[in-house]
Amino acid sequence: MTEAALFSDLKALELDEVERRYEDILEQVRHHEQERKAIYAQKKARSDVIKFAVNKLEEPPNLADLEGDDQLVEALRLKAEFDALLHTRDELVTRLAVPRHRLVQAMEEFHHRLTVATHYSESPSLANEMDMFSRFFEMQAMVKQYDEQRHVFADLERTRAALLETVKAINREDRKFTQHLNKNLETLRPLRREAGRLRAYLASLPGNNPKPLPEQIEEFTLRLAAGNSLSLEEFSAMLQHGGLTGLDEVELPAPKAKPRRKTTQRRAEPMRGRRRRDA
Amino acid sequence: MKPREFRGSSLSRQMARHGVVSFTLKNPAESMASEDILNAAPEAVVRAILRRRERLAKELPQALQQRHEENDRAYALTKQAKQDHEASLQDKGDDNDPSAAVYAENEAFRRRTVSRLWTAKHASADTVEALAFWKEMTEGGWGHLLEDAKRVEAGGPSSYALKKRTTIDTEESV
Repeated sequence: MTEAALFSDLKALELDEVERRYEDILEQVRHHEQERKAIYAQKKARSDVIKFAVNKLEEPPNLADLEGDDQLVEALRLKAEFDALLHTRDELVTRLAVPRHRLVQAMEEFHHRLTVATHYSESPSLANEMDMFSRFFEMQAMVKQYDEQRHVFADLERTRAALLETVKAINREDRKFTQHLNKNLETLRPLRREAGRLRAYLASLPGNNPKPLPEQIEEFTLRLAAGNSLSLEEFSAMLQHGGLTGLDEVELPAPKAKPRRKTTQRRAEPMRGRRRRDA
Repeated sequence: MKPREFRGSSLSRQMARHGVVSFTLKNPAESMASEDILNAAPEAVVRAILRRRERLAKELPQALQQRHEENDRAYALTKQAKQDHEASLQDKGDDNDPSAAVYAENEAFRRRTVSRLWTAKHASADTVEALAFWKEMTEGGWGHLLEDAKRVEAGGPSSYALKKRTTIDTEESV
């Protein structure tokens, strides 16, 4: 396309009108860039919350910028509650060391041995009786502790399920953000193209120095900030040279083949149908 | 029509069990559901132990008497067999005489009866001691036996947890 054809519609317009159009488009570009940045920030917050919920992040993310997002706040609250209950449960299990069902089984056995008459040769000795009596009531106290803390186990399960559901909901919501982002990019691309055309036209006029276009935020930077991964090609593009994908182009010298040593002695081994190479 | 003959073991599985008497039916367990076991008081358990020990104390003198008689019989048999074997050795000088086998059998029987007698004697002595101990406990002196239970009730670790911790510490220090 020639320059005349490119700017044909603009040449018919007044300079002020073209400048006004350029200003309007610049404003729209800025607005979309800001929106894009905000969407990426929200995506990053969501990614961090999910990572924190599944213990891939040790510190909880700072959600100061996203006060309005109840889902993320709820997820963090549930995670804190889950951690606290987990700690209580672990403390109880470490303190008692034996699971409840095993305690009940052992108590029944001990009670049977202590109270049921058997042949004198099978009867427990006094020392055994004392030990079993002591352990029986210790286990009884342990079972009572388990029963008193039963709500911890129930609450832990309930909180775990709720946290899981919240994480799933955040993940579902994240897809919507991806759609918003794609839409934003689709809108932004023709606007930038048009802004570039107007700027080029204004710059071509003598004595005119139009404002530059707002700098485009690099896709990679935003994606990395949102905690997403990059492909090998994208990494290579970020490097000036020496990208991993460029490895194929480098011709490595072929390793020299080792000279074969000629065997002087005949090897005594069964050939099983093969031909002897040095024969 | 001729009824089918019961044969093999497969049919017996279909038949109701009649006349199968468990030896425990003589001395049934004191019926106590799991819920009751979880709420059993020390007094009740001490009383149950005492009842079992008292029943055992009644049975033991007779058992001891039987074991004494059995041991006396075994001793007499062994003594006779030994004399016969020695006489046979003097007469024939043959180690493979049948009296040697009789003597060995009687000697084995004697050893078994001695073992059974000692078991009964130990059980008898233990029962006397246990009865005295648990009678004392009925008056509420079981405090020292419930130290672990009290520690757990107060929020402390169980003896199993303490043992586990000691084992881990020992392994780590090694």
